[in-house]
Amino acid sequence: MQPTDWGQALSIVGGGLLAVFFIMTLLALATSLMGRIFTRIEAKKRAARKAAEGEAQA
Amino acid sequence: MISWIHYDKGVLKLLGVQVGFGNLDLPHLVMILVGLGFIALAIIKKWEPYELLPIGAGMILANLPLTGLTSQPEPGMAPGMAGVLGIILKYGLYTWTILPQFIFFGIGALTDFSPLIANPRAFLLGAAAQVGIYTSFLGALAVGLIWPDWSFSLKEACSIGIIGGADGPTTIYTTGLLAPDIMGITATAAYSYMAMVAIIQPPIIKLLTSKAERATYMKPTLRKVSRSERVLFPIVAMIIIILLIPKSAPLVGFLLLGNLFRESGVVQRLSNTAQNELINIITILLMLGIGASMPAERVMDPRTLLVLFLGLAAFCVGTGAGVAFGKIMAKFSKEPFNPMLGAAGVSAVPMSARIVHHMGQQANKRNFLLMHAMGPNVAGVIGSAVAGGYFLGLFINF
Repeated sequence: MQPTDWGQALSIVGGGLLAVFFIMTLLALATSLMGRIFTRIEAKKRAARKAAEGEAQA
Repeated sequence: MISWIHYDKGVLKLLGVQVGFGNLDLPHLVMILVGLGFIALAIIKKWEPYELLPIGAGMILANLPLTGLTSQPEPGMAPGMAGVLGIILKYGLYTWTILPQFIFFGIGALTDFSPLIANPRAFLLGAAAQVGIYTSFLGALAVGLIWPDWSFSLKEACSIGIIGGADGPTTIYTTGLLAPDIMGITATAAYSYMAMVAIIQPPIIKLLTSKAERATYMKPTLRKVSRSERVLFPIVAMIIIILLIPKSAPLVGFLLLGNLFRESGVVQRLSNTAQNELINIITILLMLGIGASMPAERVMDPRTLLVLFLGLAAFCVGTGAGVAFGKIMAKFSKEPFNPMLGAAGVSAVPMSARIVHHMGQQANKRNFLLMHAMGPNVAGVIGSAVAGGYFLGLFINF
């Protein structure tokens, strides 16, 4: 068995943690953005529906 | 002339036919007893029965002598000489490594990512809980400093660390490619610790949180997630993750593909098959294979105990790191945030989420944390697959 290269081991740990946190943060941001867009679209649709209902009643 | 009883090339024969009990030695007998123990835990305690029962059965079959069941097919082998478990091992786990990916496909079809989409901060808790993977990776390497004869290579250390993700298929896939010799042990450790979530996690959570923190009340409902978001999520996540870590594609790609089948709503039959028949068939093959990968000569090694210990440490540190990160998030959160949610960041779905929910109710009867805890729980599945993909990217070039 070859002796452990601790420099490489620590770089694996650092790189791994960075990769996991970076990707998960990116996913959080993308999902949050997606949520905002769709919530806004839904709100606009609701408002349009209400307006249409109001016009129909008038 | 056939004698009643005689040894032929070290094998006991009765009336000219090989018999097993003459070749049953102590190590194999111990492994058969371990297999029986797994079956007993599955039946009596109902601990991960879908995994532990076939693993135990595979272990028994692989350790009964002279069956030939685990003989793997080789070039030039006479027809019919390869055993069925050997074929599963060779093509399902060692050479093609396709079984864990199809399990992930089924898991994707079974998983509802809505709690995560509704609360994207949960991704960070899913990331924090992966810290245990890297701690145990270093721990496995440190073994060589104390006991040089039992040292682990970098690839083996990665395979041991990944147990901390508490994700069976990711552990199997990563170990199958990096260190197939310890695959049976790492997989068994991952599933066993998942089964013991209710024993392992509560003391760690209690140690790291005060009763007041555990009692923190959160509104029981999350915002409603639209169908469009649920359809778009697997596509967006798949592209982002795979572009950054291509080697995670076999796991992440299949997980999110299964989820797309589920959420699209247009391939209901395929989604149902992935959720039921496919995942059931693959579970039988995969778990029997895992059990069969543990013949005594491979497992009876002091390093096995070290793997089990380091895997447990990874799981504990992951839980602790999740809770610690939860406490940080609670400090910065505008609304009340229960730090226990961080413990659900390990991907033992849905057990970890249930434990957090249960402990939340113990501390404050008004609390209903299940949906909040499911977010980090499913984020943990993605996080551990990313961590596994990162390890594979270091050593495997397709």
